[in-house]
Amino acid sequence: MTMRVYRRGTGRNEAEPGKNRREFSRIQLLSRILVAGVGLGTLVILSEQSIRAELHASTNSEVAAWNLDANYWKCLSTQAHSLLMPGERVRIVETNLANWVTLEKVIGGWTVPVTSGQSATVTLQKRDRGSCLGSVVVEYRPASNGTSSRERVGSGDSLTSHHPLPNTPL
Amino acid sequence: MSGTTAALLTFGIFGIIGLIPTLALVGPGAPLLVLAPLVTGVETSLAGACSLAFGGTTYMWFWTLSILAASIGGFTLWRKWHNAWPNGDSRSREKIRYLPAIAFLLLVGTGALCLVPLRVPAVGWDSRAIWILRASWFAGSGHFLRAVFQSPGSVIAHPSYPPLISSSVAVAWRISGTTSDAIGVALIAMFGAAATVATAWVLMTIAGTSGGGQANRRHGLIPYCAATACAVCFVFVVFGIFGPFATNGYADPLWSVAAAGAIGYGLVLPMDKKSVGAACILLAVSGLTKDEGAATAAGLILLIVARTIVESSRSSASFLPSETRKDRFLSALRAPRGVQTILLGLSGLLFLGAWPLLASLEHAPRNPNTSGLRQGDWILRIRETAAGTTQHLHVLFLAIPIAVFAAWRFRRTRARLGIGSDLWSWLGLGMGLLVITAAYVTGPGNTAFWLASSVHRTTMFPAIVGSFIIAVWVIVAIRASNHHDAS
Repeated sequence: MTMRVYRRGTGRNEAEPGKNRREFSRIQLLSRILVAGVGLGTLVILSEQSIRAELHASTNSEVAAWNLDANYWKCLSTQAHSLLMPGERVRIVETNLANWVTLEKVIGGWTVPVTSGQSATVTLQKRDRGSCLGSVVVEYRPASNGTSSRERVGSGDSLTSHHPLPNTPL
Repeated sequence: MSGTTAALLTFGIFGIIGLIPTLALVGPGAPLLVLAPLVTGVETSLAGACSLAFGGTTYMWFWTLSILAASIGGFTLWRKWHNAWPNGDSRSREKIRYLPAIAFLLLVGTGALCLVPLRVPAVGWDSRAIWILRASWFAGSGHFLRAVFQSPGSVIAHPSYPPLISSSVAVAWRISGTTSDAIGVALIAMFGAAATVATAWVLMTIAGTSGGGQANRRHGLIPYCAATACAVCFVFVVFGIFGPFATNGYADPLWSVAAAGAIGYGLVLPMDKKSVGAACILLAVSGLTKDEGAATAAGLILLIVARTIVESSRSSASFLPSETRKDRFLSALRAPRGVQTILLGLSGLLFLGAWPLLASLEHAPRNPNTSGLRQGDWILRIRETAAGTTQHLHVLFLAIPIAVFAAWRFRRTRARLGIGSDLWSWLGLGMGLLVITAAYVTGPGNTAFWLASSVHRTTMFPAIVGSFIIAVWVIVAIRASNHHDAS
């Protein structure tokens, strides 16, 4: 087996080794500057946009708006806890999809939400005239004789504000 | 104690709990510190799955599995004690040893800076309806978990979604003794930041690698500092892609950046046990966070297996010169290492498939995003999906020309540094795009509405990978030589 050893500046470019090498080095240096410059420049511009968006997203007005949102959900949750026992089978009776979703979020973690085909111990509704920024949780529980339903309104917390709730990004 | 403080405390405890198994998987080094809490997150997922399958609380299963994982990890470390850490020295030959520590602290500081918006107590729509709501399920008994999991009334909470985020939040509530949405949101954000720093560390590893142990004259201070600046920018860019979803409890940032990190460790860095270990952790995190993450992670496992076999077919010295490329590939496939790689890949796929199987066996309501009537024909849906995704992938219009030009000039530099071909990263990116396109095109309902409410989140993964590809080429260009790397 023979081993061929090449050195820089030998072989095909032997005629003008220095010139070719210098030209190659120049092109390579320019390529490096181009890729590193354009790439790093892009990353820096995108970083600057990111920092600006972060600063905009954490202003005091944003903090106040989201505190109101947190208190709204806490208010509804307290009302629901005043009506329901953890682990109860609850059916939400709502024609308004937004209200249905809101109630599902409030009770879905600690009760068992059931659909219309399943047996439930209690049915739940959200009314739009109440103490939690204009909403209240209402339950209908069958009376002891099993014929009629008893209505109870949630209690334990209330919230008023002149400011609207923040838009929740989807 | 505020929610963020409690989450930080819990995150630290997660880090301590996950330290031994992570050390056994990735060895000593900077990524250990950011990967350890994620490993604990994976353990909480397994605990949640065990609680659902066998009863008992997630918290009880969490401690049982954590002790088991620490014992197995400790045993593995004890066996390696007297041997040199596999490939451990090739990466730590930096001329100036303190630079990686400074770079790591800078990256962690940048990640922490990006979490400043946590002062806003925002809880996103999905976070309240899915991730934190389900955390309450995992915080309860196994009996309650099964009851809500099987109830058709729980459909809005997507019971079939993987458990990592919700089970981690449930365990965090128990550890901190406080049940609040703020802890959940902050913990999810910290997981995202940890995965981002782990991904950015791939760039520092490329900057510090000496090309499989060969001495490198140009391996100096200025290239390393430039690479650090690039990695810091990358962290900011990733958080820019996350937008408000970085700190409002959404799962998309975590699975996206974990999958991007898996590309870095599994398809870019030289294949060694440390890289494979880190890739496995990030694939598990991605796959156990969301359905899209599981599908993407499964695709990435196939690519990592393919890369391992292709590279071993190229590097092996035992082939005859007359053998064709196909012969070499088939020989590498049949070699013990090839069989071992395929088995490892298969076990990864089985691991990712375990949760959907369990959800199906437990009769969880089907994901509303995968069942129901489809509106519009396929052509229309493909066109709408292409238009919707393109709006959020502007970075690719720059990444493609940079990658083409840089591959022309610096592909030999990549080979000299021992890092994988850029084509693998693009295949990984394509895999992610294929998953989301397939979901939008074959899924139910109206594509336009679905895209409007989700495409900015589902395109996070390809956007992050596009930025990552640019960052990798920047560092390769910095590391290139003017004299040696002729392509």
